[in-house]
Amino acid sequence: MKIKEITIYGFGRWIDQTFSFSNSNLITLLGENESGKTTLHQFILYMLFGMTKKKCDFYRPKTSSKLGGRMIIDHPSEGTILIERLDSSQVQYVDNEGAVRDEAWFRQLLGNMNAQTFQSIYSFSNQDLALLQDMKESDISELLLSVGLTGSAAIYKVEKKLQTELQKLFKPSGSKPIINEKLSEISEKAKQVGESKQLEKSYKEQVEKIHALEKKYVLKKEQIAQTNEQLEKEKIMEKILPIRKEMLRVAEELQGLTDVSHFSLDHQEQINMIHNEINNINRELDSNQSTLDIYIEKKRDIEDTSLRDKEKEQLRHLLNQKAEITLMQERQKTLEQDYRYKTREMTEMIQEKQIHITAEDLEQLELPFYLEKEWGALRKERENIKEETDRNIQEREQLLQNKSEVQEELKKFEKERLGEVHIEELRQRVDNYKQISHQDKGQQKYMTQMFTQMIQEKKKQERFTIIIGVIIALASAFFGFAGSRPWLFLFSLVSIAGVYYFRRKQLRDIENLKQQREGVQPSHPVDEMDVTESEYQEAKAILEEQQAIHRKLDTLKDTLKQIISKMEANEVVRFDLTEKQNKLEENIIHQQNQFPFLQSIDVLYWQDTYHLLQKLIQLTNEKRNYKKELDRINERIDQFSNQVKAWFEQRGLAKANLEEMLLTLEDIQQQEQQYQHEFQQLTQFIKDAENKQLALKQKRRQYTEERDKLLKAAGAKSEEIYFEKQARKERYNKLYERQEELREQLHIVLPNKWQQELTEELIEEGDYYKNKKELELALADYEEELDQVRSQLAEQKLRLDQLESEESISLQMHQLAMEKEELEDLVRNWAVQKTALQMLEYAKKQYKDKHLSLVIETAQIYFKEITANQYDTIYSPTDQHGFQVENKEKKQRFRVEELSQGTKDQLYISLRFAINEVMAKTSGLPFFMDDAFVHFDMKRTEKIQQVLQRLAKNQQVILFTCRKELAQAANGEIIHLST
Amino acid sequence: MVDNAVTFIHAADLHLDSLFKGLRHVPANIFKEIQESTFTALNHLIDAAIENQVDFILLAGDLYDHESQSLKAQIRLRRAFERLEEQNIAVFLSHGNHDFMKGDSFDVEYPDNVHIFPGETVTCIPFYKNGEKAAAIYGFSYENRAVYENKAVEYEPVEEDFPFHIAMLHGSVATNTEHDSYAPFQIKDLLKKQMDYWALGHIHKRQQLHTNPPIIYPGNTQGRHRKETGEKGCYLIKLDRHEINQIFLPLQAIRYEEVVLDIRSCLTPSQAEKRIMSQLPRYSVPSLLYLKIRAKENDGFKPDEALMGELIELINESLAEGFPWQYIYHCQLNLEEESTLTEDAFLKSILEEADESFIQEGLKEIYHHRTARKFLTALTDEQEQAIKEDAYQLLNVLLREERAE
Repeated sequence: MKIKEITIYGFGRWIDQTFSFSNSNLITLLGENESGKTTLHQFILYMLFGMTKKKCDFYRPKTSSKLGGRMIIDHPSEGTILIERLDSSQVQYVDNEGAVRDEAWFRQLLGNMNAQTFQSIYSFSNQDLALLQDMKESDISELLLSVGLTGSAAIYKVEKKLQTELQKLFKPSGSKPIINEKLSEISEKAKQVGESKQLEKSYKEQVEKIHALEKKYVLKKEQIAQTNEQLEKEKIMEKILPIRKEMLRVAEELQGLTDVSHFSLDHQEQINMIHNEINNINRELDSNQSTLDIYIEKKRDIEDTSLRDKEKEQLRHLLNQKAEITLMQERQKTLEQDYRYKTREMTEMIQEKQIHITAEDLEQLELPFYLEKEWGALRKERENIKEETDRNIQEREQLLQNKSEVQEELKKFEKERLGEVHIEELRQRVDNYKQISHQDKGQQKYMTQMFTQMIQEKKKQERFTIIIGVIIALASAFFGFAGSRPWLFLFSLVSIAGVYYFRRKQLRDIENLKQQREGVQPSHPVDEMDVTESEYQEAKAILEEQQAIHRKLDTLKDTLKQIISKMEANEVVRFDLTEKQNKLEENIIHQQNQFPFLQSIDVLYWQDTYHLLQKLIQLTNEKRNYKKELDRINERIDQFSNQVKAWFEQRGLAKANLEEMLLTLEDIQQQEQQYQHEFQQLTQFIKDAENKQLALKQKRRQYTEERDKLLKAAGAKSEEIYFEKQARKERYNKLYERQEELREQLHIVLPNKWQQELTEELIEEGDYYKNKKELELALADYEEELDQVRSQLAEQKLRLDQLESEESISLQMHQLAMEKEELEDLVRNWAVQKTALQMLEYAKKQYKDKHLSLVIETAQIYFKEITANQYDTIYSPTDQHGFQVENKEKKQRFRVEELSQGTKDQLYISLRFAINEVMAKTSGLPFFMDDAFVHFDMKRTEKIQQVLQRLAKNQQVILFTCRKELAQAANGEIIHLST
Repeated sequence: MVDNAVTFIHAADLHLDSLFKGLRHVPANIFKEIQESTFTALNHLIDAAIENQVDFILLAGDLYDHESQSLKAQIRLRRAFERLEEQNIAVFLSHGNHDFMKGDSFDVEYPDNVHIFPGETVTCIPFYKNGEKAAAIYGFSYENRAVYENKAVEYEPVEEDFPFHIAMLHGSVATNTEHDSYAPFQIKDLLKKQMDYWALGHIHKRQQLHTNPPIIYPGNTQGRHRKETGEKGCYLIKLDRHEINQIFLPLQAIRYEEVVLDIRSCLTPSQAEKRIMSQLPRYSVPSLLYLKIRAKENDGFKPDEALMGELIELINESLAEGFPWQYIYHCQLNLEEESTLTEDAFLKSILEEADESFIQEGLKEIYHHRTARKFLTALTDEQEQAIKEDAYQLLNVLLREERAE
């Protein structure tokens, strides 16, 4: 493959430039430094492989916007090919026939090589050489290998990267890397799951445990049931032990009582009854006898204590008088009281009326019946005189006043004197007045008649009452005396007093009525004149109003005359009155001399004083009567009292006042009566008791006979024997019953199944209790064990339940599975990288094994030639050291850094030629060298020249250089790159 | 014998509480649901039995895994059986290769309505309905981890007068190479036996081998990894004198599904997100999705594992809130690249003719590590090959990146 023509539209400093290459295979592009050699080199690479946009921008011309160009290539099989590139992306491949082909087709032509590979093999520059020089010993061999393999350091970098990445993922003995971490995490989880699983595995075991426990439980229950039964048995045995013991005892006793087993108890009740009866009778007889003795004793006592008959007679006599004396005493008290009362009454009366008179005076005083009227007339007269005198004086004053008034009026009316007509009218009025005064007299007459009638009535009543009162008094006095009842005398006295009092009252009433009748007769004759005169005045006033005044005047004159005449009459009357007054005074003094106590009393009250005195005299009489009666009673009482005292003295009893003694007497009499009564009773009791005793003895005899008969029938000689036998028989019966009862009890207590067994067993007292206790202990143990088993079972079941409901194990397992999956992922990722690394390493190894030796051999030929046989052997790098070369003559080995710069370059170029030769055998692509021989001297340059010429036989060689001599020595086409 | 029909449910391979594969970094709530899913399916099974008032349930092996040694599995199973007991529904149960009898370390006791085939010899357990013979049920249980004999030949209907004869068999057709060939049989062997129904177990994929008499694998009741996709459940069977009714009842709590998506035309990550969201299928139950995404690099959007990982995380966040939820548990990215760019010429030439045993040697470092090996399963050839491919690709990418600097 040859490059025929290059046309640059714009690339770096090159713009619109065309280079045509001749048929020569060795083309030298000669130019100064900075003449664009390297740019041109890059352009060719750009044409073949394209370029990244970034790189394109770097080569974009400063002066033109146009980047790109085209290249014509001559290919041995495809012919002429045109490549045109504009910028980084526009590209066109045109084949020999002018058809546009795709990139793949073109790549095929380039042996599917990329720019990097191409450069590694077919192109190198002095920069590569410089790089080699900077490399350290250890790196050189690696770099050479890398260059040999891919033409760049990419493999190296990738290897590093993969290693780093793998380190991050996993280290066989690390803990930080991701997979290691994951592993430890999973290990932990797996451990947990393993433990959980182990627990779960115990499930079967747990279930078996439960079965075992259940079985144990059932067995234990059975054991408990058996023990319980045994215990029950023992308990019953213990319970029935006393019964059984008693049975034994009863049986023994019954044995001893067999003799009375047939003893009859038919008449038992009868005999018992009779026995009791006899006993009762005996007891009753005893008690009766003692009662009798007591009664007799008592009777004797009473006979001793009671009074003698004479004394009794005296006592009776005294007590018979007691009622009378008591009455007397009562009367005595009443009279004393009355007497005191009368005396006080009199004293009070005298004091009240303030009469200077004593009780003694009163006894002497005698008041004649006329005195009363005399004293009344005196008073009346004095009153009349006084009244008339007053009236006389009043009249006189009135007349005087009237006279002056009339005189005054007369003077007044004198001037206005009127006619006579009015006087006549006044006369008429006087007439009228006279008629009226006549009517009053009729009325007076009627009143007098009525009073007279009333007086007569009163008198009749008085008479009747007195008669009846006297009759009653006489009757009671008579009966009182006849029946020796003193109170009837009193009653007759009271009746007499009552009659007396009534008569007095009646007389007073009659007196009053008479006075009233007399009082009616003098009917105020003087008042008539006053009334007539006032009316007359009135009439005159009316006349004055109606008639002329002069008529009045006449009247006034008359009046005045009348008044004067009246005054004269009045004077006469006054004289008469004075006369009367004197006479009265004389009379009064006379009376006062006769009755001195009147001196201090106004005449006005004399009549009243008379009445009072009369009453006082009456009271004095009554008092005197009381006194008389009182004296008589006292005498009687004293006489009785003396009799009693005498009896007391006779009895030797202490004397006291009469009442007490009487009470004592009564007590004694009562006591005596009591004794009498008791005595009679006792006598009766004694008689009854004696009768009863006889009856009882009779009854006892009957019972005894009957009993003896019955005892004989029962075959008992005596009552004692019978009773003993009877007791034994009863005991026998009782025991027999008890035996039956016990048997029944046993029957009830014992369950049927054990009846036989337990009844017949011997009585061994201590064992039952002991057995029972032992069994109870055992039972408690069993129960406890049962509880334990039960709780174990519950626990176990709970554990099983927990295990069954424990679902987290499953979850853990699944999580672990997922973690494993994740681990697998990580491991796979690791595996891929690891494999990639291994592939790379393997590729390197393959290279070493296959290509390196070939490359070295070829490089050796070149090296020998270029160094003019100075060095003839190249040793490929090993693990210990890198490239080594051997001196041909001395056979000395040198390491790369021991070589001169020129020799190093020669070595590198030799290696590159060798790589080109070895790797490019099939391709025949052009070979580019850019100022690769800077450090070569002329001699070495010539040698290179030869090599290049030989190289050019097989492929196009394009050499960029600034050295003219090298270009000329190359002996090929030289193109000058002018600036 | 007026009504001599029997109704029953046929299920197998419940694999209660067995572990799920391929799940990683699942959010806690979803994880809980997944973990419970086999039990949820069991509950659905019991609900279905009660709802349909079946006479009995046939469980043809692999009810749980001895591998996971879960007590929970057996306890839950017992509770489920207790529910059936309350409803007077019988259970006929045979042990399979995963729950073989001798491997049981718990011995949980099941209620009386559960009839277990006692050993590896085929036996008959009669079923009485209302005191009358209703069906004869045949079967056997795995005593050990495996049964290699052809058990089909041992099935012989009893002479007695049962209206129906039903056989339970946990095993696979002799030609089947996908599973371990346990108790291998030929369909023609089964047909010879004059059974009215063959209730098979062991194969997790639902399939009907024959129609009359029906020979049915009901499949497992709940998918547990990416290969057990779609609806999972049991068969409701009604046998009567004249006809056979069979209905498939889905029981799964969560569906496993595989989804292939194409986002090659998407130019930005957000476009890709929308495209993925819109292309996801919807199901009536929660689903776990395995995504296979075809993608292509372009200027604005360079999808790679890391970017897609983030994208899926975002999508999962919104899916988790949906009802029913969905969760993408794995996303496989198939990136379309230009082949010339993918391979490094030198590597290719060298590795093409390389002996690859060195790879295994390198991986020993971890697979033989004393801790790690306990939790890692040995790589299969395919896995190893896949790792190699991935490594090669990685290497190329890395080298390309380095050289592009």
